Amino acid sequence: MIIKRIKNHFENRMISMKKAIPYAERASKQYHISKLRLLIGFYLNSLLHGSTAVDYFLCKYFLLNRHGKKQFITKKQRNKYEEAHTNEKFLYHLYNKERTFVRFADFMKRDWCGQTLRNTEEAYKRFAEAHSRCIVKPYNDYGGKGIRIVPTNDIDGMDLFTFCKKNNYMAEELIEQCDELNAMYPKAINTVRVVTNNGDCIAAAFRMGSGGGEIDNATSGGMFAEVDAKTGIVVSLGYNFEGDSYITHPDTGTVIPGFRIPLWDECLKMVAEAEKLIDGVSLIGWDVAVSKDGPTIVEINVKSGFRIIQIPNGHGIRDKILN
Amino acid sequence: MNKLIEKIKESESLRNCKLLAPIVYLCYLPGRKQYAIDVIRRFMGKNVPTKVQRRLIRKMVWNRVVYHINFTEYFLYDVEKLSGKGKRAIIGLLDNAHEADRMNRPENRELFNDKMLTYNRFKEFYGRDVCLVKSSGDSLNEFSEFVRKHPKFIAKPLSESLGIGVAVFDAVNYSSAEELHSALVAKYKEDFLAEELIVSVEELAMFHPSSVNTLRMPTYRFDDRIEVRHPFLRIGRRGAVVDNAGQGGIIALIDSDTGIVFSAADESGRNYVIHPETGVQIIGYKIPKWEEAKEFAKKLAQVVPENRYTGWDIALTEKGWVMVEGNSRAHFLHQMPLRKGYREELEGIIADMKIKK
Repeated sequence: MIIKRIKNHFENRMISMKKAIPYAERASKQYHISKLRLLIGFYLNSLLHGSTAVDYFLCKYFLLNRHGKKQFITKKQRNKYEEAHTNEKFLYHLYNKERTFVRFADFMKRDWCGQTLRNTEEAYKRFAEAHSRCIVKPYNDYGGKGIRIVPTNDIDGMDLFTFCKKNNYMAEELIEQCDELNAMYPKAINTVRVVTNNGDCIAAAFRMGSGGGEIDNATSGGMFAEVDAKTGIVVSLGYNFEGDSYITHPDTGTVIPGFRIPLWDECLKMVAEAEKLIDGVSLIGWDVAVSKDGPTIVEINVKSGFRIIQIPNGHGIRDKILN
Repeated sequence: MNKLIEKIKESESLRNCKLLAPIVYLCYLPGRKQYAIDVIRRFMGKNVPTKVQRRLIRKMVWNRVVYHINFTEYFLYDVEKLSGKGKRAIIGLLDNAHEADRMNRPENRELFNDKMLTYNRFKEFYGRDVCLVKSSGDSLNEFSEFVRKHPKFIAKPLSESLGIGVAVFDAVNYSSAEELHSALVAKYKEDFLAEELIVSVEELAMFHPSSVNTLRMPTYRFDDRIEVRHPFLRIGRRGAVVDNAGQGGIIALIDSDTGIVFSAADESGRNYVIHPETGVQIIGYKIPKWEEAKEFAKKLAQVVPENRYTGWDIALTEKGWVMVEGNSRAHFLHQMPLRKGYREELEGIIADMKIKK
């Protein structure tokens, strides 16, 4: 039993270590620290703080002491906080994509078809008639995996209903984003992640698609930058999880720092309104898109990490959460 | 004891000797306590508990001795949160001159320290009239001639730097040039420079109209090329005439390739998105005539070919870019908004220069 656990532990560590090696090579060149030292530091930190390779190398843990590392909040620490401060019953509304659509219908403002609700062939047919193209998402997955924009009449030779039933997918109406956000990156919906703690906006990040991808998730190759919560202006360079930073968007050439999120005050107002429907969950990440008719909520995240906020701002947001 | 400290300060090998650090630390601690308390009050407010204060003083003095990070920098760079590697990477004001001197010739230092010598060497780039005023009164005729041409001018004491003593005078407030002269001599008690005012173009003046918002262009001259690295725009604050960071100005970092401002902070560690007084957005601003500015800085860097590193202050007027001054020991101030040390990059640059001693 114990041997099995130890074996398991080392197997997991080996996987994360392999992911860390390219980051370590890069950091060792830039900061003249030996690769071995960086990897040992990474291993110890992953045990102590539960930090991943992205946390350790992009938040530059190796230049910080224990006080500096304490500023950041890793996914493991966040989940711990979550367990203590969350109303488990309410999570049912947030974990289930369909339930979220039902509860926050006033803010999501778009048509959809699901697996347990609106799941009949007629509902799908009506949906397909109303919209020529739509976005399909895996029903039970996160991080932007498997998300595609497809025409509703023919997906890999199937119609929408059979495709969704077969792969356990759900379909959503496309959001038409406003021209300002289209200028940043037209192929994906660029959203703003607004993090609220008990209703106060504590941080925000602007997420952009890049490299031809159709989604803006950082885990799927998207970029992210810090947004000043007061003014709605992007105040940092654009970063991605490979460790690159950009001053102009590599695909469109739009300048990232200084970019103004359109209708920022309305975005915050909408998030504050939607917050009233939430009961007993303090930390929430709202994905807000600005469509041609005004801001809409794309997704509500309860378990996502804060990496896209902590990497651009360079100092963590733990003090804002715990106070 | 003081003699010992002075000796250690002067000697390069003693300064970097880790074994001596505890002794220097103990020598330093009593003398610097009051200054440390002042700095703590400035950054953390007056209500710091004595226990915390004592712990902070110990840490500040230790970092001052071992890593050459002075007391204000301790707060500006969040040194409390850095590991040894992170602290060593910071080039503070104490190491600044030493690092800059590695790239420059000592005999050229006087050229940049003496504002009149600088003017004589770089006359063609100044684009404005400058008059040396002697406190003895020898140059009264030249001065009255200058005042007739430019009734409003800026006066700079010759030996000071960091914007200290710089002020604008208007001859209208005085009955004659002689009276103005005696008033100025009484103020400065030494020789000073009277310079024609630089009228900045609207694009740069809008951030803070009462000061000339200048561009700092640090140039690094390699054997085959000249590079401009980590340039920044300095913006004045609170109606001040100068834009130096030591006088509360804002430092706005510029991306060298595109000329776009991407980060801004002041010497109290506060970050800015918009200018607090005028409300103009700083971040994302594109410097006008950026390519010309880079070319201008590279041209300036060729005037004194022995010096490898110089920080040029340039301003944009209707006539184009003009030089304000040059600094052979220019501070590496770009570290401050980024809160990131520069030493690794600088070592790479110096190795690349292949300086023969």
